[in-house]
Order: sequence, then structure tokens, then C-alpha cells
Amino acid sequence: MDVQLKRGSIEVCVLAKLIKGDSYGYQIIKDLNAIVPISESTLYPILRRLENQGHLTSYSQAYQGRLRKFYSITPSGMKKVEKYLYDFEDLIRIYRFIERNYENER
Amino acid sequence: MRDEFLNELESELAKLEYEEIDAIIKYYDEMILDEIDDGKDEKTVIESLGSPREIAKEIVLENSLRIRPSNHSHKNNIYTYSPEGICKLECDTVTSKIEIIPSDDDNVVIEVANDSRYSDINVRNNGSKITIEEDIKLKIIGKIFNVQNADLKSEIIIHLPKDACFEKIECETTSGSINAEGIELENLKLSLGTVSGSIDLDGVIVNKLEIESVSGRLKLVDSKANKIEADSVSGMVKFEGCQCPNIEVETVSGSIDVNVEGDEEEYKVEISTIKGDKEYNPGAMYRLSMESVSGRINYSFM
Repeated sequence: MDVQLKRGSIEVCVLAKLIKGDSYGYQIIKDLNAIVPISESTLYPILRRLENQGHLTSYSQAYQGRLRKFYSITPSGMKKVEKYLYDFEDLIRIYRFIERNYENER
Repeated sequence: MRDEFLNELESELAKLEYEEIDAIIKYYDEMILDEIDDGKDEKTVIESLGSPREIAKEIVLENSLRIRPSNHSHKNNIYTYSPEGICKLECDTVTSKIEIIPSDDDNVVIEVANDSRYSDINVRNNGSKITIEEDIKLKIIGKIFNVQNADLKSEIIIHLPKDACFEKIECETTSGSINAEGIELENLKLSLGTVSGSIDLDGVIVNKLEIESVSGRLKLVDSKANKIEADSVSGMVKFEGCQCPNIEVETVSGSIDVNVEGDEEEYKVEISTIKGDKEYNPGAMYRLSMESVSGRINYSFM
């Protein structure tokens, strides 16, 4: 898969995961594992970027005597998810067109 | 293993802004602990993360992170106060090296040098008391702020005028050392404490002297007081030529080596170790008391 496209999609996956409720690093990795396995070192830059862009916010909460950082989606993050879905409709039309032509030729 | 990994990662990230390093180390620390809590084995978790060098490279590339400028952002401040009315000085710091020396003029001068990205050092004077406080901005899990890093170390130099009427000076530092030299203030109670730094006093003449450390060395040379109390857990205590009618030294495992200027007959010497207590010259007018659990005790008079 195209790196740019994939990276953008993972970002949106992370945001989408947070729609249901706040979550923390390891839980996010586990939740995404079924669709896109990502490593700890892939997630960090994504979280950081999303936070810098204001798509998510974070807060620390005590858990068993240590701190866990939780992430929550912001309204701007919601917009990003919506935009992704909207843009993807175009992509799907393009995809269908490519697929149709490819199938017809065979 | 986790500590090793985090420390290595931290040194690989050393060029980044401190806030950035802090966030990354905390992220990986949380991640490792969460994976271990989830039933994974620590070794497996650390190995699957990859090498700290690779991670650092990836993170730096991915984020075009802010690289710390290489020149220090050391801030130097000088505070000058007239000693009139001031009878107390309190200095409470974390990493600072503290130096107490005589002033060249009639003023109390406090020189402060610190890295403002890491801590603020606030100096206040309310008329009767000077307060120096270090306020740490960043707390990090790894080792970088354990002050191996020379440019993070702050320094406080306290210049005291000769005829100041200070009654009490208290200095505390966690990892810094404390030095005092040539201070002659006969009414002063001087209390110095450090956790891992050392305390060195040379030619200090005061009324009462209290020095305390956890693991740091305590050294007293050619000094004089009406009462001296030295207390350490594992640091060694060494007195060379001190004059004092009432000396109390206490350690847990640190060695004690006391050399007193005076006549042995004038001193009641009390030694207390795990092997038992001994007392010499019980009727003498001065007192030298030394107590240690496992440290070696040595004393001499000259």
C-alpha cells in the first residue's frame, strides 16, 4: 500500500478508535492490531502529530501507582474523520472505475 | 532491563528538546509496563521494541522534532542585598552546587547560574530572611536529569560579608555538593544537607554546625564551632583539625575519621558501635561522641 495513503489512514483509524471513548497507547495498538498491525514506534509519531494538530488531546491518569496517558478526540479530530470518509467516497468511485475497466479488459 | 532500555533511548535522544525527550521516555515506559501487565515477559517486550538507536532515528525523522540549540541557555543572575536586618538565609535546591564564601564588600551577594529550560531559581528577600529556591520545570523518569549532564547543573554562590549578623543559614540540595570556605560568623547556626552530593568545609568558624548527607562525604578542615553535629548514612565523615567542645558524629556504614585540635584529657570520648559502647575520661569537660553501625571509627588529637 502507498505509504502516504496508509499513514493517513492509520491516523484516522486512531482517531476513529477514540470516538467511542478515551484510550491509551497500548490499548490503541491492541485495538488496531486486527486491521493494521502497528508498532509502538509507529504509534508515537502519529499520536504526537495528531496532538500537535489539535485533533486529539491527552491527559494523565493514575493507574496502579503509575501514570497512564489517555487520549481523547477533539471536534477538529471528528472533522478529520468525517473528511476522510467524505474524500474516500471519491476514491471509491475511482477505485470502482479502475476495477471495472480492468475486469472488462480481461 | 526496562531502565537500561530507557536510559539508552534517552541518550540517543539527547539532542532533542527536554520536553520532547520527557514525552518519549514516558510513552515508552508506559508502553513497556502495560505490555508486562498484559502478561508479556519483560525481555520479550524490550526485544520486540527494537534498538533504542533505531527508535530514536525513526522518531527524529518522522517528526522533524525540535533540536535543542547547542549553546547553553544558562542564565546568570546576581542579587545584592544590604545585610542590615537580615538574620536568616534558606536555600533549598535540587541539583545546585552551593558555595558559601566571604564577600568582597559589605553586601550579601547571591550569584545564580542555572539552565532556565530546566529549572528556575528564585531568590527573595523579605527584609529579615533571604530565600533561595529551585523550581524544577521538568521531571523525567530517565537519567538525563540525574544531572550527569553538566549543562543542567545549577550553581549558587553565596557571598557573606564579614560582619553580617546572620543567626541561621540552612542549605539543602539533593544531588549537588556544598562548599563553604573562610566563613567567620560567630553567632551563626549553619545547617547543611545533601542527599548524594558531598559537603566540604574549610576554615569555617560558627556557633553551631550541623552537616548531614545520605551518601555524600562530609569533610571539615580547620574549622571551629561551639557544637558540631555530623550525620551520614553511607558517606564517610572526616574532620581535620577542628576545634569544638561538643562534637557528635553519626553514620550507618560510613567511616568516621575525626582529628580534634586539643588535649585528649579534656575530652570525654564516647564510641558506640554494633560491638558495644565505650567511654573514656567520663569526667572531662568537653565531649566527642562517635556512633556508627558498621563504619570504622578513628580519632586523634593534636
